[in-house]
Amino acid sequence: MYKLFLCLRYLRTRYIVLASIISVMLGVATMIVVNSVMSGFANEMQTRIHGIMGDLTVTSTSSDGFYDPEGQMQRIRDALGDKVIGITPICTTVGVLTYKTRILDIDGCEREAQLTEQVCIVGVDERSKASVGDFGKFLQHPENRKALSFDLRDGGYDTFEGQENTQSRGVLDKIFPVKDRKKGKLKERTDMKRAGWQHRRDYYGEPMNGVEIVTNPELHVETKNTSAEDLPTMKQAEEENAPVLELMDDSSSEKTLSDHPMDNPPETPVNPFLAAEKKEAEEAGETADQKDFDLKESLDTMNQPENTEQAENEAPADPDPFGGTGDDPFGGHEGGVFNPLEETHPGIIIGIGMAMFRSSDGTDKFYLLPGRDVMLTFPDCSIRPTGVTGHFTCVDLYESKMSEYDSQFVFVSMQTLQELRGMPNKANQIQIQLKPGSDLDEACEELKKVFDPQLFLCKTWRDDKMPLLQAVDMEIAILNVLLFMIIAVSGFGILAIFYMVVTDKTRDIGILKALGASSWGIMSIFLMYGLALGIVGAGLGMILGLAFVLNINEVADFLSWCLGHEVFSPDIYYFYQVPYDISLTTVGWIVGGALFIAVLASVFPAWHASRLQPVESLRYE
Amino acid sequence: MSIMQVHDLKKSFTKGPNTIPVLKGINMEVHEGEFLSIIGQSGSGKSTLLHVMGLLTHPDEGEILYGGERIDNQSERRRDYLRNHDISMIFQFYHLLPELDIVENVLTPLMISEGYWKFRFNAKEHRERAKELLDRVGLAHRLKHRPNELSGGEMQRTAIARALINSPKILLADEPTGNLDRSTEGGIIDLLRGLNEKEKLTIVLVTHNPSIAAGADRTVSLVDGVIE
Ligand SMILES: Nc1ncnc2c1ncn2[C@@H]1O[C@H](COP(=O)(O)OP(=O)(O)OP(=O)(O)O)[C@@H](O)[C@H]1O
Ligand SMILES: [Mg+2]
Repeated sequence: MYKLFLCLRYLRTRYIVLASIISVMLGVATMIVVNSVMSGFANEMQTRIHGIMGDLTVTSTSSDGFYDPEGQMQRIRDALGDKVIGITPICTTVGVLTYKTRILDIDGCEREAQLTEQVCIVGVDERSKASVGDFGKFLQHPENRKALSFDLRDGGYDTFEGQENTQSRGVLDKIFPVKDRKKGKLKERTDMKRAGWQHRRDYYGEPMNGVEIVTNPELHVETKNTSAEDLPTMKQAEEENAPVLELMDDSSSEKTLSDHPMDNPPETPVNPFLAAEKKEAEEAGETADQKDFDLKESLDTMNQPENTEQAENEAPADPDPFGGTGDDPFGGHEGGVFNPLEETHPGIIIGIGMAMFRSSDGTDKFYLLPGRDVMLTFPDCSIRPTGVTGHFTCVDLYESKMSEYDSQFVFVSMQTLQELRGMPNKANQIQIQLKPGSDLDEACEELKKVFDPQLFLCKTWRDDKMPLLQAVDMEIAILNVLLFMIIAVSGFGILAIFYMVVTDKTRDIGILKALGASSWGIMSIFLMYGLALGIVGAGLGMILGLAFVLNINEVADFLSWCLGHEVFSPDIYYFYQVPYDISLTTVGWIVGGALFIAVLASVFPAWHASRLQPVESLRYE
Repeated sequence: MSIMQVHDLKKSFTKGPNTIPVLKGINMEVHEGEFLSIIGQSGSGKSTLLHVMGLLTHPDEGEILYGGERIDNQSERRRDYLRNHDISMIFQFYHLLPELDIVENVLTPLMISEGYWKFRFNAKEHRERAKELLDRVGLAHRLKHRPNELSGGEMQRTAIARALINSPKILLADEPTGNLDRSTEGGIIDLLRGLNEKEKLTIVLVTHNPSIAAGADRTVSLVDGVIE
């Protein structure tokens, strides 16, 4: 009885032990916070990777792919039985994505620039793709999330990014369901409001009267387009010849006409004649066909006054490159003129990283919106591959939140890609989704038996990202070791302080022994003391740590406010809030470890106390 | 009837190369119910003798019998038990626990002997008994005080109450009045006398003051490590 009584009494009267309580508390809190945030990041990343990859992939070792995807899929179904809940073929190749956009130049003028991105082209099967992974979840249009389609939507694209869908908070999700408490921090993507047919009509639409637009043909950047004629669906010729508009005041028009290094790539403007003619026409105020054309375009631009006033880069209208004037030498095939106001090219879904950037104040600026046309160049499937160029209409943006994917993936219909590449009935990869809880490695082994390893690679989603996942796990492990050192250090603090307390209490120990207390009894006073201290320290640390994690975003906001700059900048981390995942097991281990250390640190002082001879301390005052 | 016998007890202290023999063969008998005083000069080894008798330390040679049982070589467990139940001690410097109040100090031996639940179960009775004892030693009005709020005499009275709580058979008092003035001293001695007479408590009182020793039933003197 006295043991507990005395140890509580000592705990209450020795204020120095508060120091060790605090050190244990801080150690525990730090470990909880770091672990939760790290595993939050890791989980988030894994969820994303997993969502992108599906559970298993069977990939052709040849870039030309394999014949008869349906047949191969049947082989997989036969091998894995009813474990398969989703399966889809995929066609991949590398390529170049080209599109035009307007960039606000340093002199305050908006200039058109051609952007070229190296991309990974994925042909997906609209019907079955949704059955594997989270592909659908990453799209911006709610209908596309329900049922994938490569047709351009009228509008109604999300104006907020959809992170809540994937972000996990571990056990807390079960205890407290997610409140949208962070929505306020999320900046609305105002550009996305217009995405869809409306944007397309605005962009390529009929001009209306308004201010004068000055075109600057010199700025018209042209890339090679060799195979345009090979492909009957291509309309890029029009684009080549289309003059580029520059919106500006009269006063600055002269300036704009001068050379701009930024927009003057080595390629020469395609249509110097047209440029010269235009300049002339402008200066002379002559009326000509060409001038009419210009006027139309200028009016078109004025169609969206709010866009031109804002610094939004892509908003101002481009001249209508697709035969708005009806004078289209290439547009006439297939018995008609391609009218961008009514028709679209085949659909393409573009990784959002290529379509926008996030400014440091958290708003997203778009270069490209659903509704615009882009150009894709990629090798065909012949023995000596040549470039194939296709025109596509962006129908949605893909936002998986893995910048690696978002900045290089574009998705088109598999059929279109097969046709353009000249590889009908061929695919490169089959993605498989298994029943939740299935053993992926086992299933992978099954597939390896069925598929010739020389021709097919069978992988789980983890295999593919193994180095990354291992690196993250390793990082967490090392951090834990280092952080546990903090608790170990506080253990030494406990040891020193306890030793002091024992020395201080030598006489009391002697008295207790004189009154009949056993050595073990004395020892257990100090062990219990250590345990109590550990419980209090670890308990407070746990509360502090959990409170910190649960409010980590508020803490980050507060720190940002204190420091005057964003601590957790959304453009660096790509999360609008710090992810965290509180695992009860981890918290349990941390608290248990802290208790163990506290008791371990008190063993030596306690043992020392129990060895004291009572007489020594009782002889004197 | 003797309650405690000391046979040929030897004890020396070794400091470096020097061995200081303190007790050089003590033979002594304590009778049941008597008030025995041991008198001797400072440094003669009185405290050492009492500590050996109170099982706080081991003798080098010789033996101590308590009620016919040899106790100096018993297991730690048995010795702890005897210290707690049968042989109580009070000291010149009182030795109360500073963190506890008077009542808690008095209850300490009970807390040591009883487990948590048993003590809890009997807590009320125990407190009653502690108050009764404190009343007996004249401290009924100071129950909530801490030792450092008491005078020397009051602290010694508390220590006496603590020594009595487990109803010991024998009380060893090591110069209990060594730090007290004459009148306080008288009060403490009278208290011990009363306990001896009314409760038939065996008391061994060590002192260097002949006038205190004079009040005892019997006095032995310790000179140069032996009883004369
Ligand atoms: N732990 C020890 N180490 C060395 N010498 C000791 C030790 N304890 C006691 N002594 C010596 O033993 C002798 C007797 O000491 P003790 O305390 O028994 O004397 P005492 O008769 O009680 O004296 P006092 O009346 O002053 O209390 C002293 O000379 C002391 O120096
Ligand atoms: Mg002495």
